[in-house]
Amino acid sequence: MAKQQKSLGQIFTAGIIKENPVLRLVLGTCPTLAVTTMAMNGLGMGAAATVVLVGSNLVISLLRKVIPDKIHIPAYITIIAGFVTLIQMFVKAYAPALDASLGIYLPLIVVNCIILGRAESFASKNGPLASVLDGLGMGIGFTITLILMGGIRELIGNGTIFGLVVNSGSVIPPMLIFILPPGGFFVFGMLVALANKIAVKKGKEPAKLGCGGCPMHDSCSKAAEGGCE
Amino acid sequence: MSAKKIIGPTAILTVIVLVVTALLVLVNGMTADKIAALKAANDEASKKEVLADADGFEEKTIELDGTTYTYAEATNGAGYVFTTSYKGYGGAVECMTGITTDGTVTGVKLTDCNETPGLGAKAAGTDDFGVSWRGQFVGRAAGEELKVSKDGGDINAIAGATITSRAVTNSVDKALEIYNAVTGGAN
Repeated sequence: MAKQQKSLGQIFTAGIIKENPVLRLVLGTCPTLAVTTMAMNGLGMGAAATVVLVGSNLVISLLRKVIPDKIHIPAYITIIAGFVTLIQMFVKAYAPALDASLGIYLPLIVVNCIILGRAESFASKNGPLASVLDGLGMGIGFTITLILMGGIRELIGNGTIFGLVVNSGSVIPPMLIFILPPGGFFVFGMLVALANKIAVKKGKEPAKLGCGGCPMHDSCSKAAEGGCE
Repeated sequence: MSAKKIIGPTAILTVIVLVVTALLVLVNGMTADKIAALKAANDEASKKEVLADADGFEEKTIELDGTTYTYAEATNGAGYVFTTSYKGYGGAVECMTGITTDGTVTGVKLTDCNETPGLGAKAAGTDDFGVSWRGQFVGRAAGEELKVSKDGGDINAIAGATITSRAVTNSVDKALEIYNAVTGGAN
């Protein structure tokens, strides 16, 4: 595929809206669904994931000419998991308050496929500065989406937003199901539908489970058919 | 496939793994002691939260029904802190229960809670709701058997989080049971 030379600014902003990792590239849906029961959780997870994303994109971009294609997946996973573990150790030792508020979300970043996906589709093919900006943009896009989804679910399902009571339940009781998994899938589906509608209006394709963000495309039979749909 | 094509990538992967492992060992060496010290201080602070009159703790063990339990006895005789756990919705829910020497509960704190945020996790919260929910256990005595209202008791479960509520209730109940064993059933 011919690469368009994007400016560094464009690379940064792409991840926020046009190529939003969750709503457009359909990456990282697992942590998105699990974490967005409250807006605050979304913020915490998004911030931590952004740090890891920037770091791993940088390292993998610096090593991109050294790692042979054959072993790139185990190599990337080792680097990403090592990165998250190092950060976890530093945070636990020197920022225990942060560790307490992030809790289980910090180790969960290892299984966030946005990180492996961007390493695969961007950092392995671009220079360090571009990769850092891509990581930053994708991370911010991820965080915004998490806060949006978390906010919606928290507001409808608990009557609060970032812990502040908005609907005390005296007139309309909060709909608990929005905090539970079915609510997560529902809100996610609605947001993707909304994003698709806006995209189609602007003449772009609706989000697909395409091969671009998937690390398995080298060995997948569906890649020849153009994707999973 | 020539030998070179296998050895090359394998060597590079091995180097990457060795470098990452070396970094992890290095950072672990730098941080392990500090993390352990922070955890110990945290534990001590948590124990003082549930048993405010205590000035320090001594660790003791007791065997009950074939299981050995470790508990903390206040060095100034203010009472005991028991750490018990019970299966919740997202794994074991661990509670610290402070009990004075006259057999009444002074405080309950959740030290390990992986329950659903916004539902079961409210049991562990430091906000008004969490404090008042756990306050149900304060003042309960060693002779009583604690159960949620669904199981015939008088502990109000959190709406939509019966399993978590039951886990906490059973943990505190277990703490009272161990207290009875420690004091020889005097209360």
